[in-house]
Amino acid sequence: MMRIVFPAMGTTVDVTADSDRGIAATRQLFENVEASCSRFLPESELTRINDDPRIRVTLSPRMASVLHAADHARSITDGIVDAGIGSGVLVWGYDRTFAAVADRDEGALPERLPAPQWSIDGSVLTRSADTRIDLGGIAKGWTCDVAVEQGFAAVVSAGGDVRSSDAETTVEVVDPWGAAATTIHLGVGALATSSVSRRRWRVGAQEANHLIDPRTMSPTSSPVLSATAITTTAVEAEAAAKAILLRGADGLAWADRQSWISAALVVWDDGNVYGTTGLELAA
Amino acid sequence: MILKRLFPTRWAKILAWTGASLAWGTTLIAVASNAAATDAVEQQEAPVAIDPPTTTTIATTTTTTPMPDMPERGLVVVRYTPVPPPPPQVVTRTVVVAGSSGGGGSSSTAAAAPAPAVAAPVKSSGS
Repeated sequence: MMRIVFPAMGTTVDVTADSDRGIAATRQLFENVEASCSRFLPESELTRINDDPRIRVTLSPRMASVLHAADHARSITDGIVDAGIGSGVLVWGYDRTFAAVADRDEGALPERLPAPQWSIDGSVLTRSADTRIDLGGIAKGWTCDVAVEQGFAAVVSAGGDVRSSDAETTVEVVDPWGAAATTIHLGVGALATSSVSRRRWRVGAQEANHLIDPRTMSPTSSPVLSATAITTTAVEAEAAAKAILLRGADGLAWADRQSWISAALVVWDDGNVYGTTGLELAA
Repeated sequence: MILKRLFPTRWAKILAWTGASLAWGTTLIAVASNAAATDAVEQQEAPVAIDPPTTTTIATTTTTTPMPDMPERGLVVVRYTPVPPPPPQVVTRTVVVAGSSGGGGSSSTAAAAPAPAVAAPVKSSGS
């Protein structure tokens, strides 16, 4: 087995594969998905879609597949994980790569935006005029899933999203203080961690973060600093982790009721770490 | 005459009077207990006067929630920190990039870092 780490999609990608070819194919896949799904690249397909004034647009097969994954994520999380929150991300200042996001001292907070509205049918995306798509986390999870399902790699980890076909895979969940919260035996499956403590900035007197709640179209306020979920696919794990974080105190109980979530873990703002009973902690 | 026929001996008379006294006592105690229990129930069911609220309080999610809502299948405390840790490592950017058009995302063409020498577990810290 070979293991390599490279930067892509604004994060670090960690790939374990049994050949150079698998590593190269995985890396190429990440580059291709970033080129089409990044909202920071002016030439990307996503930027073109978001700038397109038409209500209906036809998508490339890859973009359609990622948006179907986003639609699935929205459906299984009862609408709380919504790729249509792009306008909210923009007005709250995350309109460039995080390295260039700056605190804003002007006092006025952004006006409340209407709830996102979009649907996908085949390769046709229909959305309301003020809905912009943000595929950040979903595109990462989707790429991890495809790399493993296509047989390019055994384990792929990208920005907290992990997909594995290796029964021996263990994952160290890192807390917002940089310490290991716990180590989980994942095996074959997927795990994702979502956190609001890493990407934060200030807008007037209010602290902002990258996790926009579609119910308010503003950054979430939650006692959960980070949430981790174990599911079958990385797209579902990403959706589950975000949903738990957005739900706050009720997140873990909600996760426990979902048959598609094997286990979940949260790091509370007082440093305590809680999990559901399905957790398989490594010794 | 009748009494002598009913209680031919002195001991029979004593036994009869004792039995009658016990029966009376038991009945009295039962009636008293029943009355006390009824009073207690009536007291419990009496409506409690509640003053109407003078101000409206809206519950909001804050960072002071003590712990998660309890899942139906139970909660596992994976780590307990009796002393709250220092503030988390928040990455806050304050650099204004003049005329930035977004920077084009992170470079995918940067050299790949070598794999860890030891087979370390994959890390998941969120983005």
